[in-house]
Amino acid sequence: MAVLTLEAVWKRYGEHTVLRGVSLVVEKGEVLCIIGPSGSGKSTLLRCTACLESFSGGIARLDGEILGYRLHGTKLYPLSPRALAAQRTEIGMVFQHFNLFANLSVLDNITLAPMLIRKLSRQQAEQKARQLLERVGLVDKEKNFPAQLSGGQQQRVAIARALAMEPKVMLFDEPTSALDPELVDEVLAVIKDLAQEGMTMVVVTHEMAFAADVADHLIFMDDGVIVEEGEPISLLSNPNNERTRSFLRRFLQQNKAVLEGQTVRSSFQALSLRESENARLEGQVRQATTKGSTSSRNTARRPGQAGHNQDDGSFSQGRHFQIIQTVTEPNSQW
Amino acid sequence: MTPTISGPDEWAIARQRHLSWWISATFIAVLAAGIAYSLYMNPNVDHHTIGKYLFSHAILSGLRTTIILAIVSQAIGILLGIILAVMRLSSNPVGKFIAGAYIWLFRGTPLLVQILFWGNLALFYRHITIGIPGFVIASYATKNVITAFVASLLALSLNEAAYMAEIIRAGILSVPSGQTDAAMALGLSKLQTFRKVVLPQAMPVIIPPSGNQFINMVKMTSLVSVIAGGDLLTEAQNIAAANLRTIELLFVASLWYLAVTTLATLGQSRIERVLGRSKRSVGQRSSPIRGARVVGALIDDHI
Repeated sequence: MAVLTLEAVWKRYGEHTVLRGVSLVVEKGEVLCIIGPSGSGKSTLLRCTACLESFSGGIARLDGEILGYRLHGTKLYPLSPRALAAQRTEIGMVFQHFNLFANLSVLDNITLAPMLIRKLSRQQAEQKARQLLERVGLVDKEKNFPAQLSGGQQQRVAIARALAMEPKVMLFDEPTSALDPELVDEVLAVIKDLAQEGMTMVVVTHEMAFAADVADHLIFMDDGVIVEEGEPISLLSNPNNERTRSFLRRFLQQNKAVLEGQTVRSSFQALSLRESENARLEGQVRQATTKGSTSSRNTARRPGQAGHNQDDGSFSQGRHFQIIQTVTEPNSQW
Repeated sequence: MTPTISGPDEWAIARQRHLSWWISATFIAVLAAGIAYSLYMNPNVDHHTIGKYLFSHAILSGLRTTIILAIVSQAIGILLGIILAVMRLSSNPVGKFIAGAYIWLFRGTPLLVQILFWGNLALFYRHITIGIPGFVIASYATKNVITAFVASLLALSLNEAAYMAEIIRAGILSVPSGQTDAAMALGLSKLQTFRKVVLPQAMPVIIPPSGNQFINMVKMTSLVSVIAGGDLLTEAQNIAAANLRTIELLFVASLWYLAVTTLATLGQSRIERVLGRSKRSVGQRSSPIRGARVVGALIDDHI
């Protein structure tokens, strides 16, 4: 079931058109990465999806419900501020410049929204906040203020703050672009963890390697339109569109060997694992039908293997697996 | 072969002697002493009178009225100022216009004129009536409701609100928009965002000019003497009218005004220090103190 759908979204600021009819679909548990040059509308797209900006045209839906507007006959009427705020609680957003509340401690940052909106008591909210801080690896920083933390730490707190509202989908707007290179990894690790736990995510990023690693689907945007989209590794290593190719030129040159190696390596992995994987999947399905639980969701996804957990507990490798099949079958020497 | 440089291990730095500082300081000290002496030795100024009235009942009651007027007007001015600032910043065109017109009117006319206006309201509005034309709930004679004290309060607070509105608006605008973005993205309402995120971060920007406003307010209360508002200056002038010792009574009033404003200045420093502890915004590199030091250094270089 698609969690997030955008249908022909347009966004204009006066004379300037930023988004021109963008459509996309994000399935439950899927990680969508958006790459593109500055000014392409990636951040605007995220802000519109998070209901921080209004639309000039088109519709966005979260779990079927129209975001930001209600349909009356054939016209869309803007929602009241209260209904809009309620919709925003279902969407978590992480910003490029962290945007932690400077007047509150780390713990207060995370507990503010749950206490005010979900009406949790202070103990409940703080307990939850400490669990989230443990998850992002910052338990001992709960009394600190944002100004006392490094960029990477602040971003991790921002992720914990967004998670505190238990959103259906998480949006990341260039989460590591404002960080020193040595701090990027710690934040990417947290995001990757989230992805492996099955959170539906849309990540706008310049970290191509991260996109290749974690994304299920990759979109390249330029000038307000989706120029090309597809499976991450094939798109990054062999783009069809000329514009995509020129954008990725530097990345392609630097990472030629790595990308080729990754494709080969992951397909080899897939091949050798196929037999054991099939046996394991069969066991899982049997387990799921007898137990009726989705505990098998938490089996770790190996890096480079894109895929998502289906609702019945089986682990589908989706498109990636199919591509490997066509690559490996003719070459029987492997 | 590499040449070796020989010399003392430590180059002693001579202490800078600012001769110009000493000369200018001496000159100013002599000048100030001269003025003070001439005032003290002036035969037309009677020190005994100053001492007699400094703690008299009338003066102290006037002082009390001044302090009450200053504090209450400033408080009302701040509250009304917040409302006006929010109206100015809202997307509602009606609110924007009303707030803008109010600020234009009350900043555009002299405070003295506003005080005279409120003080003489009874001249053109004989009665204050609650109700609608045809159906009257209650009616009062204006001169009974709008006393000199009430008129002073009205004039001072409404005038102050116009200035505070601009200060508070500047404070709100100083909070980075990302803070509001994050708060809205979490699902907080506009009011919640304002109360919990924006206003606390706007305070360090609002406090210094507000302290300035309060110190001005203490002195502006002296203007209500034109409608006999019962403040410090009114009492001083009343006494002077009786015993003809105008300068001495003005000295008395000035000493008290100086005492109150000094206390207010100290209070402001304390508030700033308390509020500034944890409210530094993210990414702040320079501090106002550093800026002040640079300016000070520039002045030093050019004396």
